[in-house]
Amino acid sequence: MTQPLVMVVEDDPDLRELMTVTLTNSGHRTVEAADGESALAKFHAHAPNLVLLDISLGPHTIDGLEVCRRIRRDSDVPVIFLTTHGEDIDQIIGFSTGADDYLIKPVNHRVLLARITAVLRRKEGSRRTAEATRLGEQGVDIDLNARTVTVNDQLVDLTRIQFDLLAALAENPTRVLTREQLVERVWGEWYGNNHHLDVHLSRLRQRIAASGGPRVAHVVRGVGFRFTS
Amino acid sequence: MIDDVAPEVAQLIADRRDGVARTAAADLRQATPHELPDLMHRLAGKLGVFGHHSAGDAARRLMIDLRDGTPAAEVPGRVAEIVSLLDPGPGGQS
Repeated sequence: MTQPLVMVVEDDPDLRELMTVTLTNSGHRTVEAADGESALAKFHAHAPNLVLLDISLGPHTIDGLEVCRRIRRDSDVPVIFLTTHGEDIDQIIGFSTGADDYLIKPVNHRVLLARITAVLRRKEGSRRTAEATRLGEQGVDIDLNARTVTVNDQLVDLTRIQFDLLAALAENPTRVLTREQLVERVWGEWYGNNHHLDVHLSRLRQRIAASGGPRVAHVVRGVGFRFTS
Repeated sequence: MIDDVAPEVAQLIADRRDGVARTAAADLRQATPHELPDLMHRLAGKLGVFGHHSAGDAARRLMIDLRDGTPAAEVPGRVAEIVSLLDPGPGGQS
């Protein structure tokens, strides 16, 4: 797996090198920038996974707040501000520009690495959630946010239970869910009534098939159900 | 804190420590009153990282006091105190 690329934007050469060594030593790839303009150019050239951004970049360049604003025009890449300021108002200004976190210098190196890891993990979780809002295959498309199902681009009318059953099976189409697992996912607890589940699954299959879709909720004898055969 | 970091990072800090102190002391001696706020801001975020914790704390305090309007008469003595904390000779505490 490719290691995250972190862009270090810091005008002080000693601090910039120290952060770069700290990051590379912990397995990150790095790209450096000493002022606001080169930061924006390198951001677009290298597409880093995270930006460590000093707010004060000297008198002859745009500051870190402006760099962050311009990055936010077309990117949601995580940005962590570095600054010597510590007042609340500075933090409010920092976050209003779209920063993900804020560290007060001098920064402990382990704290720096921990914050970077946490922000990257949070961003990865958001990305996966966004990807997981659409499920399905074999012509069945499930939009979890809109709670709609289309088969071959035709909207299929499902009940809440039918939708939840289909979504549970589609989350991992190759995995077999037992009756207990399926019921717990949809109703919250297993109450032991197989007939109830079978009726809902049967009607779900009929609705999908009537729209020209595949046979869903395939029975794996003695085990449970899979999305399709 | 040098003992809180990986060996490569600790080595870089050790290599730069004296140079950072010399440059900071020179900058402090040459700074005009107008330049002091920006200089304190820079040193407050840097000196502690390179092991000059006392000098970094003193720079941070002066940075805040300059922003809050500390009496001008106090400033030269405060600057001299930071320089002395950076001096590794007798009396230096960096």
